[in-house]
Amino acid sequence: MLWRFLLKRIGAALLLGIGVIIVTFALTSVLPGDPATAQLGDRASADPEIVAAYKKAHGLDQPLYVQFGLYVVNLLRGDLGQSLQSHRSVATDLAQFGPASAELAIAATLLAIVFGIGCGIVAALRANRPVDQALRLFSLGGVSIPIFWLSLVAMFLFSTQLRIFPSSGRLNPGDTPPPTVTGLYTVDAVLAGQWTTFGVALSHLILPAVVLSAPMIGLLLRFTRSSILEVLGNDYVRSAYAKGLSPRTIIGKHVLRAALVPIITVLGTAFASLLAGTVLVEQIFAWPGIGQYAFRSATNLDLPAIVGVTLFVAAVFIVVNLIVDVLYGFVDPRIRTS
Amino acid sequence: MSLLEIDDLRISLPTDGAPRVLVDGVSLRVNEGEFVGLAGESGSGKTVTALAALGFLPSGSTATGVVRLDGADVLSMSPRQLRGVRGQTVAMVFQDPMTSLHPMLSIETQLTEQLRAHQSISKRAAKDRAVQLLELVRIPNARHALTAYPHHFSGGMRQRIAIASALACDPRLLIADEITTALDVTVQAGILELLHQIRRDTGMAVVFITHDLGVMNVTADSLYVMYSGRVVEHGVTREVLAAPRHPYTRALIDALPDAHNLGEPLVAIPGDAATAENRPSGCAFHPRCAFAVDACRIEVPALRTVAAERELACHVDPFDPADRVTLLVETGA
Amino acid sequence: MSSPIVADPMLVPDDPSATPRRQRNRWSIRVRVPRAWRRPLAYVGVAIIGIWALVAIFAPIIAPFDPLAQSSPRFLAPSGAHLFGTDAVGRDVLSRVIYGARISLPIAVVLVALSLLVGGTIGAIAGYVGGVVDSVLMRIVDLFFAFPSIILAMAVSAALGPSLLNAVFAIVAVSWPSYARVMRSLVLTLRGSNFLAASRLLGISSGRALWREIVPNVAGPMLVLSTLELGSAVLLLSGLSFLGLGAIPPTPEWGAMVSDGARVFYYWWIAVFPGLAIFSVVIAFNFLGDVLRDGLDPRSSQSLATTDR
Repeated sequence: MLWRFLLKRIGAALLLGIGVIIVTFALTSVLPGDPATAQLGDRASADPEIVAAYKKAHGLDQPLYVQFGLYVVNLLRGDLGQSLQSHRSVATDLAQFGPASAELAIAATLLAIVFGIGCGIVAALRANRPVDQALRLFSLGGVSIPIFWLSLVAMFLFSTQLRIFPSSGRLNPGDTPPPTVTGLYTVDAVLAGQWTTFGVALSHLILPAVVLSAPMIGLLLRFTRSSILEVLGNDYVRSAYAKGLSPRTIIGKHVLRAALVPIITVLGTAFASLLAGTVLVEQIFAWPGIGQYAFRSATNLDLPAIVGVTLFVAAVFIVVNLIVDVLYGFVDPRIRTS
Repeated sequence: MSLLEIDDLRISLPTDGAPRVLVDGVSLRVNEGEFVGLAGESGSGKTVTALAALGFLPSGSTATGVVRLDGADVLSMSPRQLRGVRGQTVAMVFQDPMTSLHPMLSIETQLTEQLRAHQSISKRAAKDRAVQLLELVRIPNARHALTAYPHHFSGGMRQRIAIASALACDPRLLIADEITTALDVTVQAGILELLHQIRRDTGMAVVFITHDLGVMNVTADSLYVMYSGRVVEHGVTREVLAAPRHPYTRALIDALPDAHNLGEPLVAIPGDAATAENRPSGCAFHPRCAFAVDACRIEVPALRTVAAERELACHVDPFDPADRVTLLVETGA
Repeated sequence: MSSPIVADPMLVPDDPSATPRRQRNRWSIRVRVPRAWRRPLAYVGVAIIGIWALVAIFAPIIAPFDPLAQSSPRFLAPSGAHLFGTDAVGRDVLSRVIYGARISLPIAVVLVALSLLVGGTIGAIAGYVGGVVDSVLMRIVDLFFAFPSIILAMAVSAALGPSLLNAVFAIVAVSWPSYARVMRSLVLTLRGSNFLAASRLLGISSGRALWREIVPNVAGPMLVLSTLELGSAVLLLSGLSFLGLGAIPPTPEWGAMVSDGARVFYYWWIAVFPGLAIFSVVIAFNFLGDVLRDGLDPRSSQSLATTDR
């Protein structure tokens, strides 16, 4: 029963992935600019023979569906083309910048889960009392604040004035990163036992992660609160009280379980919209991640890089949705059978 | 000493104007092993009264009076004391089986959690007890049913599971709040019969709340009829059903479809039920009562004993068997 | 013997702003309370937006200096003459913030209106026609959701050249899916409702049914969504401008101003005040949207009840 559910979800995800690939390819063939001349540079493009040879070599003179086929084949081989800026393969670029953003995103998400859901529960249980009013105001603030501005304010306060946290990069200049296992400096440092490096990496991570998590915390707080309040009004909660169970059991098991489905949904959407915030935060904190890479690629019209980032992010999005769907199945048995 | 003793319970909600009184001086008594019926329309306050027996009060309300369960006043208990009482001494089954069971917890969990909360019992022993309970309420394939979830079961079966859950810790009092209302008529009978049998086997007392006098079995020991937050009649069930003395009770019984008089138009009680928001002055039933006199409009009739084991709250008492002339008066439509 | 007891604090607390659902599950007893009185936040939101609207309209009169011209030495800290100080070119920041309202507010409205038009139409068609059309349209919407919108927006802006107009185009292109989804689910619910079937039985054509039955019923939720989206629109617009992909200098757009201020970090007033402006507008839209959502839902008047003491 559960397997069939999983398979259906994976199938849907794959279909979506294929759709994204097709659309991305269509977009690249539609965007203004000749890829050949873009790749070759000015002098070479002036020579029609070189251009023709290039086109032949890359199959650009073939009909569109053949090009698409080539594209997919390359994709499966992991070849996303070459970045115009870095002159390395896009795949290499992604492999370098990806983990940095992953570290930020995961840290921000963890913060959001702990504080967003935690405070949401508190707000729900103390509904309409001062604590709740304050938390709701705070959460409204979180979703309303422009994240680039918050970054600057945070940086000004904590880095420049108070000098608690560093203001840029993942490590201090001149530091060597820990041996790569995951690409997440904090995790790798712990795994290698390099505690000072861990400390440095962590201190660099905190400010951008907290800033990035602010909108997510706001969102999760509100949804958790309303979901729990919604559940609290349900009959089965009253039944639980009537059985004489302790409040901790009732809230922790009965209420939370039932409230989790909408919360998981929101978590999925919030994670997806994390990318927009990442672009801004990475710019300001000089965090060498996908966000900065995406920005540079977009402004430089580095097509292969744009396409590569788009596919990468879309893939992440699809995977996250898949995980969300699977989590639903775990939490709510009714969904498994439908 | 009774198992449950409610004394002059008054529950009201504050509003912008005068407080809205939900329960207005209700007194009721349930002895060990008794089957007590509590009948009335929606808005009569019967559910709120019964919930008070478990220490549940509507949010924001104030309550005066005493609700004594096994000697102890429930209304002045601490939350911890209440937790000790709920599920153990008194248990409740609610009206809608589709929503009163948790949709995401297994049947086993929902049957054993109160056991393990109230008693130190091993997981295996709790599981065995759960199987035993399911068999008691006649759920087929009990051991397999433990791993299932509520949505796998029909309404009637879910209600049985809810009953099993209530019985888990062997409560001495079971409050059944309109447990058959949401079910098909054919299923209702089965549930009622089950309840009576459990009572016979375990000696548990039952407070059976309903708006339908048709399901009130004559084997029930005593019957309380409530209207608009007050008890209007109380007596031995068999006697009250056979010879009701309050015009409201009489009207309720007359309103039941009679299989012996097919084709006869259904009798309805004229007017709308009094709600807590617009309770008439004096006797709340007087606007709809064929026998009302001036006193009924002015003064709330007190519940007084009018015969051996019969209490009545009516100024007129039109069906007093001692007064044979009144019995000849037609009540009219 | 007896004492007045206030209710068990562990009981279900009433909540004025919980998303209201099936009422049949609610068991605690409620009392109606005049709705508007309990939401001071709505007034704050309306007040803030009202003030900004007035500021935008009367900008030429209110602004002490020309937002585009140098009026004083550069980098002056906030003082009597320049309440918000001056920026890197010597322009009065206060005047620029004031004129910024003339850009952010109207454009946000345009953004939402366009997205509503595009998304709402597509969603309504999908919901009303159903079948294959619905599936296809919704797959497209899913695709858009899967696409990193910011990248699309950045790429479009970059390809077309940074300008406010292109930024609008880019933002609408990535914002309409949300409207489509909401509209579709609203239309689906309505389509299955009885009163629609009744009007069809009466012989009313589907076109007219669409207008007279559906539009009034979707107006409420769509209004709520639009108000909330106004906040996101402002954030997106200022975000793109911050990155240099929206408003081009010397346009006094708030996001661009924050970007200017970021470069000269030490002179904090250049970035702080425009940012505060953005913050105040967005939070005001969110206040409003919140209250609208609670107010427009027909069931929520029941849930705006007295609370547990």
